[in-house]
Amino acid sequence: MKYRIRHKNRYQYDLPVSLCHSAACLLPRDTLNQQVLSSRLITLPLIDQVSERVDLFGNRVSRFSVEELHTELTVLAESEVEVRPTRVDTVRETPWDGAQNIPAKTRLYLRPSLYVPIGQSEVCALGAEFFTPSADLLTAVEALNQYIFHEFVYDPGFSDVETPVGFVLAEKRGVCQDFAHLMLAVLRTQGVAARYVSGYLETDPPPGQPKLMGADASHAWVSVFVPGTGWIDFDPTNGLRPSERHVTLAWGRDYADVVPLKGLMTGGSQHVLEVSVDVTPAD
Amino acid sequence: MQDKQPSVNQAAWETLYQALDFDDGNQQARWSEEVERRLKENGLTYQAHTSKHHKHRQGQLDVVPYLLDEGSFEVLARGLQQRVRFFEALLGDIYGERHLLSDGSIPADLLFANPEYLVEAHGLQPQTPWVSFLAHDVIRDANGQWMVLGQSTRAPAGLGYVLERRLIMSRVMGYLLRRMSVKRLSGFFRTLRSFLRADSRDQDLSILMTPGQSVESYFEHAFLANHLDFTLAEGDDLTVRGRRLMLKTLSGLRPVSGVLRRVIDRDVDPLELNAASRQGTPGLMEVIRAGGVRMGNVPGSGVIDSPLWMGRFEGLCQKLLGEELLIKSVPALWLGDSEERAECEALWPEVLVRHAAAYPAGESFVVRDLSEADRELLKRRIEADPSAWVAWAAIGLETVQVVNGTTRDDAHAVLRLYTAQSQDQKIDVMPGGLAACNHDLDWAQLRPNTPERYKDLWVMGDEPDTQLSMFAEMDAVSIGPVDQSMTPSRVADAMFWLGRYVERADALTRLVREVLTGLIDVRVEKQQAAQWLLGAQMMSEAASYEDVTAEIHRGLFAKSAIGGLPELVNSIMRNARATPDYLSDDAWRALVNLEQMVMRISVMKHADAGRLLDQVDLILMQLATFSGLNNDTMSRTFANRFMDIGRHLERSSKTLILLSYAFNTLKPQDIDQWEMVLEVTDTVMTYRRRFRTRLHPTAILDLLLLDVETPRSLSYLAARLERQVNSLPVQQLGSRKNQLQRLAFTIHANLQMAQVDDLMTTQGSPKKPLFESLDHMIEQLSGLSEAITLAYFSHADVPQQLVKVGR
Repeated sequence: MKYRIRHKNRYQYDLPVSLCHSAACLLPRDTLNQQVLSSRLITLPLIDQVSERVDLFGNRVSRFSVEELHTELTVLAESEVEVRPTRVDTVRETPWDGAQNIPAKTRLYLRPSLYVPIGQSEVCALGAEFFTPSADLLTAVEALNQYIFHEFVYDPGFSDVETPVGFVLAEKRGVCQDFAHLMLAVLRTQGVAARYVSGYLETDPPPGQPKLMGADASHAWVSVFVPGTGWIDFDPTNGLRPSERHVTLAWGRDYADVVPLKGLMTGGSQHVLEVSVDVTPAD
Repeated sequence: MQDKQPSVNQAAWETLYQALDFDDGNQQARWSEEVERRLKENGLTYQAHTSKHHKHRQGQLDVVPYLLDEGSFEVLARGLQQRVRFFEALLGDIYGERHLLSDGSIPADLLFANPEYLVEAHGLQPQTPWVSFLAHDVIRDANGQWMVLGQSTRAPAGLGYVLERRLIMSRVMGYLLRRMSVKRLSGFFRTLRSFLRADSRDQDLSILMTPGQSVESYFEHAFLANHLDFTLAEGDDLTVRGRRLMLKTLSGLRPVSGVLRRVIDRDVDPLELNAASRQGTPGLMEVIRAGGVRMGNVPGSGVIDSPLWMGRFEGLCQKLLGEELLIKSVPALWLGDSEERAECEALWPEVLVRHAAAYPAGESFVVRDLSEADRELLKRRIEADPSAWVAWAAIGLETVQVVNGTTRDDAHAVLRLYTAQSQDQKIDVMPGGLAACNHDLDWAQLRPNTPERYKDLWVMGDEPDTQLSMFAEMDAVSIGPVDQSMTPSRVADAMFWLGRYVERADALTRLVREVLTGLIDVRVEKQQAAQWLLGAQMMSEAASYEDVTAEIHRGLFAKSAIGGLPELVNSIMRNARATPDYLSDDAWRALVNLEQMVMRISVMKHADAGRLLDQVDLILMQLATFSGLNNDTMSRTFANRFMDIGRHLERSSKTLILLSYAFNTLKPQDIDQWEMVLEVTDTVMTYRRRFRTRLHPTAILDLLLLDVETPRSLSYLAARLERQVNSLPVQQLGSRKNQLQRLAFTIHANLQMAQVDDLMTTQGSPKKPLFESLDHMIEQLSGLSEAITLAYFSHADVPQQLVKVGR
């Protein structure tokens, strides 16, 4: 599938902003089943110098600064990507034996991170239900994925960035970001290496299929490392394994590593943010 | 006499002990006393610098130094130089190619459990060395073998104290240092400076970046900045423009070329790193990446401070440099490895345990000393995350003698040594430092940063050191950076308010002094006048004698009094601390004394008017001392101008308010009250000289409002304000500056054109225009204060987050 993606952020300030330093994780990366055909970042006010670097995770990070007085900032990311179906050998059994066979660089995803604490007793207890001594890894992860999808309520008004995983678990509510963080916490507590993936969903479903939760905005899901196989994505918000309808933007330990657009500004006082995301099939 | 340090020749010890014991009866005791006295003196200044409470520092510096001959020092220096080269290679790999991680030389769980490992530093490729400045804690085991206990890149603290203590030692026993050919420290500081100021023609600034007065080491930061001639700056004093780091100064933004960093790695840039921190500057990481600033040390280097991999440095050095590590680290067991954990269990409980956090901070335990329950708790914590812990069997350390009263006893020493690396990778080891001494062997190696005693480390050369001292004038009071237009806006802001608060405290104290003097006067008229004057400050109606005094204490001297003296002194101290390198040591001492006196009066709840009066006199004297010192030593600096403007602005409004109160409430025949007006404004003598008549309201108004020669009169004050405002820096202000000058001019001009006849009747009663013009001037003065804030202090603006990230 080929997609055209337009992700627009528009900030309006009630007082002029004299300086804004920004970092954006808005340009998609290549993955095993995704190829970026074109991509660009446009800002208003226009900025000559947008630098791009690749971070430790392989994401593309754009950096720019607005040094002129402005009351409005628009950041538009446009790209074209081709996504192929993922081919995963789901038949092969991967018995769960702890974190033994995880390669060095991947072990970063075993550690706690800013939004993913590990070792909390409730999180531990939840994990123990799925990761029994003889459990097959993929089966256990799939069951956890389904559990979050069925038992948790998608509630956009419930949480914000600061809502801790424990509260999401207690209330069984949240958005894609909360579900992803919770699932990561459960997995890492069990010694499973797992990372946070940010991306998009196709805006309009193909004929006959339901519209997915989290379309029209940035989406988030998790990717689990399966020794001997590699990374396999799970989307607990929709209770499925991402394939052709998910476009990957970036990944990291948690949301903090892949914030789509962050910035620090001088002046501005209050601001209003308008976000629009369009993911449409190209051709 | 037993020689405790085998590598130092007996002759040196004999010279030393002779000087201490035999030259002059009880020289050692006299020197100890002298050292103590000087430390205490500095300690007062030290405490005043930070808002936190500290342990006292008395008795901490031993008069007997730690001696090291040049040969032994050279061995040590070569070892430390090699370690710095090793750290450079190690950091280069960790944040670059990551070979050591891929091939298993560094266990992944060890690196990722290291809390100082900075994911964001990956690919940084700094255009300077990673560690330009490093502190090493070195021990000598019982066999005389050197060993490193830990190193600190994040906050290589203590350098200021090394300077301070060497200064004290050379003052007290300077001839002995010369006689024993003790190496000087100045060369090391030159290297340190040259890293940050690579080009001597460089017009750009070097700064010392500090978290500010909330941290305990703030005094040391101020001390170092002063002696290295760097500007002391906080994150908010800086901004990033066009990939350059800029200091917000009174004359606009000035590029910064070098930064000696005391803000920890993670807090350097809230955009890319810890978003919750307020200590950094947004965009700074990108500046470092682009090579726009030389920063010591590069963020990310803190990863080597963690004790986790101490036991692996030997193998890693062999791998990276192909060299044997000359000075080993303490052979610590990393508990993330099952074999090493088993070794630790075998040693348990005869083992020291330390958490992964950066040395020398972080939790550490002497397991033997823990209760059974605490041992279990520690065990469980280790089991939960074994990768984050190290352990080792206590190393037997050499002993040194520390002076204990008139005798000496044995303690264990840890040497703190410093290396500096220049831009071209020349590594300098400071021939000196501190020896931290502890009687307890375990704690000596777990917490060397909080020793019982310090010794000055003397490296003795074969012949006297002829090195020219950069710090020849180190004793002299040095104030502020050379180029005054480089004064940070925040500092000017603080100086302005320091001036205002000092004057406000002065006015209040003068007024209370007159009130108290009046209250204890035998004449009823005088007592009534005192009550009247009190009304200028307090709303209360006082009834009887005792009540008034208690009321005064409650309303003006108690800690809870709003706008009272303790509150004013708090504001004075807060603003003074924001400008540490702009005040002389004497000025600091005056402030510390002031604070103590005010603290004292705040608890004199039941004192009578006479005793309060005595204390008020002392306070007034201390305020005068502070003001006098600043007039003398801070002459024509920009920072001083702001303080001067603050003071005279405050004095003007206080005088206007008093005049307004007096003319609203007094009749011409209220002689005692009018006299108090003159007393409070310190103009009794001037009045007598001038008019040689009995007190008359018209004459008083003429003196306090229109006289151009009386330093307390409004005309004089307005002229001074106008002059100072006109001499403020002009750059980048444009129309705001004009507005400021116009305001100052208008206030002055109005006074010049005023006629006493328009304001007063011939009988000495005020006319309506008097009140109008007094009110008008009070308004104009507050307008002037706002205009100054807008023109000069507004870039103390603090950035805010676009999207909230972080807890």
